[in-house]
Amino acid sequence: MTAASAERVKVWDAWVRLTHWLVAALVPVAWWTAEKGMMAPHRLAGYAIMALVLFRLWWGVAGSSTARFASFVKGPRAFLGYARTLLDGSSRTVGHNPMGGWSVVALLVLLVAVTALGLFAVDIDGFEPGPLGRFVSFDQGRVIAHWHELTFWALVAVIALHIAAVVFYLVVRRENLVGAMIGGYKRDVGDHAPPRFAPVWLAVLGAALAAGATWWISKGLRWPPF
Amino acid sequence: MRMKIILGAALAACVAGAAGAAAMTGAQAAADRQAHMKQMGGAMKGIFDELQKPSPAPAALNQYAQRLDALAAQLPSWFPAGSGAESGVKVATKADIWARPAEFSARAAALKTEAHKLAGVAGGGDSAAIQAQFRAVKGACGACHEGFKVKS
Repeated sequence: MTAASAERVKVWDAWVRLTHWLVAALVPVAWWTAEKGMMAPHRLAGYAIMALVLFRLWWGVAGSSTARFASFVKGPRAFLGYARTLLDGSSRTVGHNPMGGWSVVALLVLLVAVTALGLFAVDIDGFEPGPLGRFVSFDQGRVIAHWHELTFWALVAVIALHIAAVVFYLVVRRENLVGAMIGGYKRDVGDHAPPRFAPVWLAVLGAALAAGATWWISKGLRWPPF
Repeated sequence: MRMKIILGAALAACVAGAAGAAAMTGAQAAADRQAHMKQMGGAMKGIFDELQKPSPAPAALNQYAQRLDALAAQLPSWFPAGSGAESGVKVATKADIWARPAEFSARAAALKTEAHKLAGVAGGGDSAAIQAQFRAVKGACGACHEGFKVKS
C-alpha cells in the first residue's frame, strides 16, 4: 500500500455529508434540551433529526451509489473478510466498508427508534406528550418515555463505537475518514469503479417528502392536515 | 352543581382520610400518593390531548378539570410523615417537603387555587381562557416539582 501517489476520488455527495453533520450536531442538542426540561426546542430538534433520517432512508434507495443500502449492506462473509484485513489496511472501499455499513444501519435503526418512541412519549407530569401522545394512555406513554431514553443510550453507545472506529482508522490505518465526510473526497480507494451521483432533483424530492411527512407527524397525523 | 361536586369530593376525602389515617403505613401512603399523582398526570394529559383537537369538547375538558380540582384539593394529605424515602418505596420526594413544610404548603395551596380556576373555565368553551389557565396549572405543578421532587 502506497498512499503517496493516490488520486482524490469524490465518494460522498453533499447530501450525505450535510445529513451526517446535521444529525451529529442535533443529537447533542436534543439530549441537552431534554436534560434541561426545555421541551419546545427538544421537540424541534427531534423533528429535525426525524426529517434528516427520513431523507437518509430515501437517499439509501434513490440516492448516489455510495449512499445506497444495496451498495454497502453486506453479508457475514464480506464482513468477516473485511475484518481480517482491518489491521493491515489491505482492502479499501470507495464508500462504506462491509463493517462500517452495519454501523450506518445500527445508527439509522436507533435514530428511527428514538425519534419514533419520542412521538408517543409522555412526561411524568402529563404536561407535554409527544405529538402522537393522544394514541396512548398516560401509563403507556410513561413506559414509552422510558424506552425513548433507553434507546437513546443505546444510540450513544453505537455513536461511541462509531467515533472509536474513526479514530482507529486515523491512528492505525492513517486514513482520515472525518476529512472525507467533510470535503467528500477520499484518497487511495484502490481499484474501484467511481461512484455515481444522483441528480439534485431526486434530493429535492426526498427532502420535500421527508419534511412533509415530519410536518404532518408533528401535527399529530390529523386528517385533514390543514 | 360544581360546588356540590367539590363539597362531595372534600367530604369523601375527609371520611377516607379519617378512616385510613390510623392504619396507614408510610409505604401505603407513598404508593397511594404515586397512584394519585398518576391520576393527575392522566387528567393533565387528557386536557392536553383535548386542547390539541380542532374543536375540543367542553364536556371532556370539564370532566378532566373537575378530577384535577378534586385531586389538587386532596394533595396536602398525601405526604404524611414517613411516606418519603424512609418508607422503603422508590419515591421521588425530597426531604425538603418535611423540612420546609410552610413553603411546601404554600405551593400546594397555589396548585389548589389554579386547579380550581381551571375547573371553573374548562366547560365554558372559551379556548383562550382554558389554554391560559391550563398553563397556570402546569406552572403550579412545575413550581413545586422544581424544589420538592427528585428529577427523573
